[in-house]
Amino acid sequence: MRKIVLILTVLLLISTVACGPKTTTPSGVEDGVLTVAMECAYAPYNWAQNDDTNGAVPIKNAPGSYANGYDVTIAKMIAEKNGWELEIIQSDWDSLVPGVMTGTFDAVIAGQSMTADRAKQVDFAGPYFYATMVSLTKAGSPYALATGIQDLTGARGTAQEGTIWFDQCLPQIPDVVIPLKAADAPAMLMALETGTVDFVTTDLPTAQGAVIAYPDMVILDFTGTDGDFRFSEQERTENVNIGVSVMKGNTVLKNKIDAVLSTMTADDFTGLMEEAIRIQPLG
Amino acid sequence: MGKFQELILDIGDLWGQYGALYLRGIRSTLVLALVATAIGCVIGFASGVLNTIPYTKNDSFLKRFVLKSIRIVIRIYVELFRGTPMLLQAVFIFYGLPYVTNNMYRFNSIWLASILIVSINTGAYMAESVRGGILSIDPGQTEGAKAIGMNHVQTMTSVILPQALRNIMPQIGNNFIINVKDTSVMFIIGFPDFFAAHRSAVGATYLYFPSATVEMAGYLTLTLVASFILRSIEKKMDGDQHFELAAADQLVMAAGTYRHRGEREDSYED
Repeated sequence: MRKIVLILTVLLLISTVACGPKTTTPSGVEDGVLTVAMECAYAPYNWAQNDDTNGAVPIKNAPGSYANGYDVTIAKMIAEKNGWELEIIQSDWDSLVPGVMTGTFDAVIAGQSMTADRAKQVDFAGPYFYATMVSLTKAGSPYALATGIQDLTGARGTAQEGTIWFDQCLPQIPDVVIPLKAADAPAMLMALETGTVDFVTTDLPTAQGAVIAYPDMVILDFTGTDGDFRFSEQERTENVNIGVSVMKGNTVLKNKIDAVLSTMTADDFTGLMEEAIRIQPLG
Repeated sequence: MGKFQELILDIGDLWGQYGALYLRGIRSTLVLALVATAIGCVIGFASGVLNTIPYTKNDSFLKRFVLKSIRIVIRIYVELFRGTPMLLQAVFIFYGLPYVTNNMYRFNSIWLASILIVSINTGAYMAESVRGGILSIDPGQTEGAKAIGMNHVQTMTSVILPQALRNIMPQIGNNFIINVKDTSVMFIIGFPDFFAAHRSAVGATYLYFPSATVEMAGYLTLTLVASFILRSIEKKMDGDQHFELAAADQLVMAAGTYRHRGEREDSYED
């Protein structure tokens, strides 16, 4: 009998915890610390380095490593203007959305496109960058002369899985062959470098970093021409705009981040990105 | 200037820039694998012992009920954690805790969460290995222990487990080596292991293949050293060949005399 009472009590406790009254969303910065997550493996947005040169910030969960890049610059500006201390967490791309949903970190600044699907799970502040969609190919290949996506007809291509480039750009290329999904940007570039694919589709900053690391690659930028990837105006805005994600309903933090970002222009963003590409540690 | 030379140069570059990161990654991976395998073994042994408490039809209903329940709970634990990928377990536990508690509770330490997840995963595999180890011991040994008045725990700790442990040592080694490699999935919750170092290094430098070479060599070194140490521990556990039972009838194999060395004949003569 006592056992049954005990079991019932435990069940009751669990259900109280699970369905307890929803408290107001905490801003996460009550403690004066802004905890920001990123992959630290997505240059030039964010990367890891071994020292604090060029203003890199220590990575909290990887002592001895430092994060730097465009995202870190933006995170530092947001923290500084609000008088917060900045804390950077390195985590897998797939964990960024669940992490911010559960308050494991306060914000994600990791080169995320502000897509409608993501916006269902998290709230976006920003944009803090406008990313152009481009492709990369090898300099000597017949595709290097392409002037539009129709010139890539029948080519083998890939992009980073789970991204706009993979899900929406690649299918627009007629008869495209996609031999593999790339797990991340370095894997994608490796596929191109080794000739596994003829071209890859990504955003301009990644492509700019890539051509420095791999001088035999060239950027195919069809922006503004008839040969560009086609999106409705809304889709384009969603996907080109890169934003900062915070927990759903966390308007306090979102507004404070927006207040900082709204003072900046697209040219400011481009300037900071060029600086990030310049200081990216390449092999 | 061949491809090979280029690779060596790239690895040199990479090591100059990210050597310390790789080394810290190796340390994290090793510590996590060691601690989690150790805790996993404890869980496995506890489950194995609880799982094999004997009961008969003549026992009281309560005793049978409790023992049966223990077996069911352990069975569910084993099937659940052995039958799902560790990556998903990590997501489920690490993000699930704040999710179901409406963000009231969460893990404050990635290390604590990682150790917990890898330990219960290892424990599930070890529970089965230990059960197998216990079953591998001749029932005569249990009967003997019972005959001199030992209870289940005494029988286990003094008679069965020391022998079972020897039998499952290769399996413990297996689990450790698997953990060295498989902890790489814990980057999903931000654990800074050896593979995460690869992600970081190639994320900035794009030296993908050189870094993969460093990782291959690193992991192989870790697992080879681990294999070597485990083998020598096994040898030590076997002890001297003089420990072997001298059976009255030399043609009958006594339980436990499963190892035979070439020099055994000679050593018996002195």
